[in-house]
Amino acid sequence: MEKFKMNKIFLLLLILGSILVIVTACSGAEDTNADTDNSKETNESESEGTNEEASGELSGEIEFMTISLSPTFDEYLNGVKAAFEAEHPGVTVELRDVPFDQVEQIVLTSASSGNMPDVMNLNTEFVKKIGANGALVNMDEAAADVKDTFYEGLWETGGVNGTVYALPWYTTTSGLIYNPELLEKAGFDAPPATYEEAWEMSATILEKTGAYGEVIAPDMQLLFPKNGIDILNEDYTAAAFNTPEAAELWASFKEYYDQGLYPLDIMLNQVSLAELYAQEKVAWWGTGPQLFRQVNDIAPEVYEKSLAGPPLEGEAGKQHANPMNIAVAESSESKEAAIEFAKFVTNADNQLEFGKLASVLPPVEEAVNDPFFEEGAESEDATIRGRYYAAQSLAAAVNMTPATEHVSAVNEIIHTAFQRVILEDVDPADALADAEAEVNSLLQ
Amino acid sequence: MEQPLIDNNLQKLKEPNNNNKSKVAAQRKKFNKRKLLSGSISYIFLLLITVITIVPFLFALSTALKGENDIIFSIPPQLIPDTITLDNFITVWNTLPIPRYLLNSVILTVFGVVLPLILCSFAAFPLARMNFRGRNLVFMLVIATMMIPGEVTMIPTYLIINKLGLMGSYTGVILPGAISVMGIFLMRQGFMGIPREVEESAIIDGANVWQLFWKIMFPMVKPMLGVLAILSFMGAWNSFLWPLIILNDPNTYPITLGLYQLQGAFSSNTRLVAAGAMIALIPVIIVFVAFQRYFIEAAYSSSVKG
Amino acid sequence: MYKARHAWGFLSIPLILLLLFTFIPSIAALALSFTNYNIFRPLEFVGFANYIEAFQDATFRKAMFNTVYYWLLVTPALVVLPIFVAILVNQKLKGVKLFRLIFYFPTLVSVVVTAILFSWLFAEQGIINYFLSFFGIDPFGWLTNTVTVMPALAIVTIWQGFGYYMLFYLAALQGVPKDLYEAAELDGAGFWRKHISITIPIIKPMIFFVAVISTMGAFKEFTLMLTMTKGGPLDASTTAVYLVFKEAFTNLEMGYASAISFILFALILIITLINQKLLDQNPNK
Repeated sequence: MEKFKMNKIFLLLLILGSILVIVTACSGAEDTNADTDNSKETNESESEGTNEEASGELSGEIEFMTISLSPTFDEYLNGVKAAFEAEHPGVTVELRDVPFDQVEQIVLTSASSGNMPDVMNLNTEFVKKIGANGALVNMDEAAADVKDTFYEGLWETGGVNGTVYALPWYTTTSGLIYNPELLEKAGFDAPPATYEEAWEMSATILEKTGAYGEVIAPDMQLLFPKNGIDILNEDYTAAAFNTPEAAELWASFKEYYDQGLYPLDIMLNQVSLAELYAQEKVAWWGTGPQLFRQVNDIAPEVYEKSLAGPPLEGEAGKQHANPMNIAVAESSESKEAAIEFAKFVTNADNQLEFGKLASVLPPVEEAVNDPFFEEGAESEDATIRGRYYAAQSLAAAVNMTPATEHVSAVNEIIHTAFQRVILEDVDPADALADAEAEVNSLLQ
Repeated sequence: MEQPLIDNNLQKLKEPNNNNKSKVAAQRKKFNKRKLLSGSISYIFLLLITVITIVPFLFALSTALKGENDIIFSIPPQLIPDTITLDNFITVWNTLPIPRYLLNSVILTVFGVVLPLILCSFAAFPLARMNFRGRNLVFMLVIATMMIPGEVTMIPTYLIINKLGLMGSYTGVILPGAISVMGIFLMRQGFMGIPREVEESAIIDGANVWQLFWKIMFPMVKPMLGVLAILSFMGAWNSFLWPLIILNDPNTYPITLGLYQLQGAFSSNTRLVAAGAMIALIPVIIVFVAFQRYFIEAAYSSSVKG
Repeated sequence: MYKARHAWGFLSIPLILLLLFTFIPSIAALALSFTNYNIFRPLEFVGFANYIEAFQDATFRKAMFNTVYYWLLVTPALVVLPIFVAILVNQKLKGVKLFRLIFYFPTLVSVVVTAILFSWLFAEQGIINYFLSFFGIDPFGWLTNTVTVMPALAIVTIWQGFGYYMLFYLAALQGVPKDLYEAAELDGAGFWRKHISITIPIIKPMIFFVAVISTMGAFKEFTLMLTMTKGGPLDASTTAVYLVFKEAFTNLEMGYASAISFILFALILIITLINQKLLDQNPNK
């Protein structure tokens, strides 16, 4: 009995061992093939690269990395790929989609061996971080010809140390989705228009309905620029947020917190506002209209009764637009083709089509002036109506992310200071002063 | 009455050294009473732990079964949906090539389990049973590297995989995990528990070292192999970051990576995510149920031998 | 009876793999800890600057403190609790196999899924607070205040880990001769006395082993912090490895991150050597 079993195990091991050998051999073989292919193509692209200026014909193989768009937008991305390849027969585009949370690790790891994807969809903070380190192509130069098609306030998004390292791709400004039933219960017939109004209404809403009104969201550092307080000075070398106005603003937030007007877990990303809104625990949610559908996914009947309004305004009266970016790796072996592809993805036609598909906005003037974005003005659907309001505010919107490579650290310092005010009862003025010192020593 | 099968087995196993059977039979009655009592206390504890263990899963399952009009997050929590539907599962199945992902996972997991079993035993056997120069040095090195966080060695490891030309291949995913320091540690514990006489008598019987290892020592550490298999299985099945970095073709993704695509840039449908998580669990449960029998059997047989 | 060539024969393949994927990367990481490597810029040798910086860094001190705190919360529970559970499921009771399976279940779930599940449970508006409200306890954010965040994360770890260690003990319990229990029962020993006087001494090597493994697990934990709290609030859940991760991949300070991990490494090495001494003292050879 025992022996028989042992033999069986042996056999199993033997089979598995041979499979491993085969797998190794196969993948090794594939790899060598791939390698030779690559080198061949590299040679080709090099040789043709010299011809490039003469004939204007591009060639090479480029990898295009997107963030969390597959499988929903596979069709669109394949369409863009096919169209580009048709226009430039010498170029092959490979698509790769990666999860949002792992983008930075993948890019950094691949950069360590010089294998960075040629064209990358990156978030703004990360563009600034690696752009400042020389990893990305300077778009002020490489894309000078298309610069004027973008809104000026958005072109600067990928900027750090005076150079722009990415083309703005799809973008959003905020709209406001709100729950008229909750507002009615609290005695209001319209959503707030400004942050000030919003906080005033919050107390009544909490008292009458038990739901929250305005809350402090994870991007709370943006409340500074929205209220006319600069985060950094003009040349991004020192903190500028330590002002009496900022202290006053935070003191009022502390007061609201003590009154129970908002919980801290939203700012700390423990709970998503989509979930709270869908549970009717918060009366409105100011965010990009493309995210309104999340409410529909969680609680369709809440979405059904929701309405959309224009985004809340701060003292400065400006809206923040946060585009996704398209950047090209400086280390790319087919840089010319990659740059051309980046421009192609962000051109008016492709931006417009993607904007329609995903309820996002194109940062390209020509595209956003399309009648499509006028359509939602009277729509009963919160997403479509919200998109209308967001599109309206796009022309005047700016990207408020401070243009320094240390942007994540600066944001974190501000968040920490704010948490000290809320959790440890530190005086806002002191917390701001400490944060200022920390930011200054970071930026030197 | 209760579990006659196991009782009989044990009875049989005990038989050789049981020469006063009647005495035992008389006493057996006495503790049956006590057993009944402690049995019900045991069940209270068992059920309590079960509740704690299972509640989060029930929420995930109930979320996965909820239809369009059921609220996912409600207070008080709604465990049984008003409309139970399999739509979420069907949607997941239709959006993603689930069978392919599962197959990929199975391939990666089989190697992720079998290789450590063999290789860790190879390494542990001499460390536990042989005296040779350099043993302590090797063992110290092994322990030392166990403490270095993988996040730091990730980039150097990646560079090596890249140099070996293994990018995008399963070999590149599997090899770095083919031997685990923890596994060596565990198997060393197993080999150390075997009495000297076993080896000596085998050598007297004319076995060479290789035969001694495969035919005698390896089978004797079955319980540890069982533990290591289960642990490696879990690690291989759930591994996420490393395959993501090495593999670049979504068609080669294991299920953990594949399911991540349910969280898109614009949508995060909690019901689908929950359904996806449940789908990923099903094979795990099947394997564990199947394997658990082997594991326990191995454990029992070794205790009898030892 | 064994010759050195036997030993090296068995060790050869494992050692090659260890060399390639563990030793060399570790040495590379050690070398990096003396540089200012950030992937993109050419690296410069900076001597012990990273180590000096670490000891002056308040966040690092806090992270070390948090790591030890987390270890103390998690390891004793994971060493003791599973013994009890293993004894429970080692009994000949109806359905006991099913219980084993259920208890092991949490271990099979990836940390990412676990994090999602527990974020729902721990939310200010979550289910745990809902149940506590029956006892007149006002809802509070478990993961959003500096006092409860670590215990909450420890609960998740213990929930996920007890089944894992239960298996280890279950294997060890098979080595306890059944007649010892019967003899003790004849002597009228109760449940506790029986196990404290018989079971514990026999499974002692396994207890040490679990202590080592769970210690290492606790010192290296960071996925939970990454997925549930991002080290917050106010760094209250920033553990050493989480800090390594953040410095390396968020702040691009690969050199500094390597230095931190080698300080941590030295600490764990000491603890493990002590443990190892204790292990080897056992009459287990």
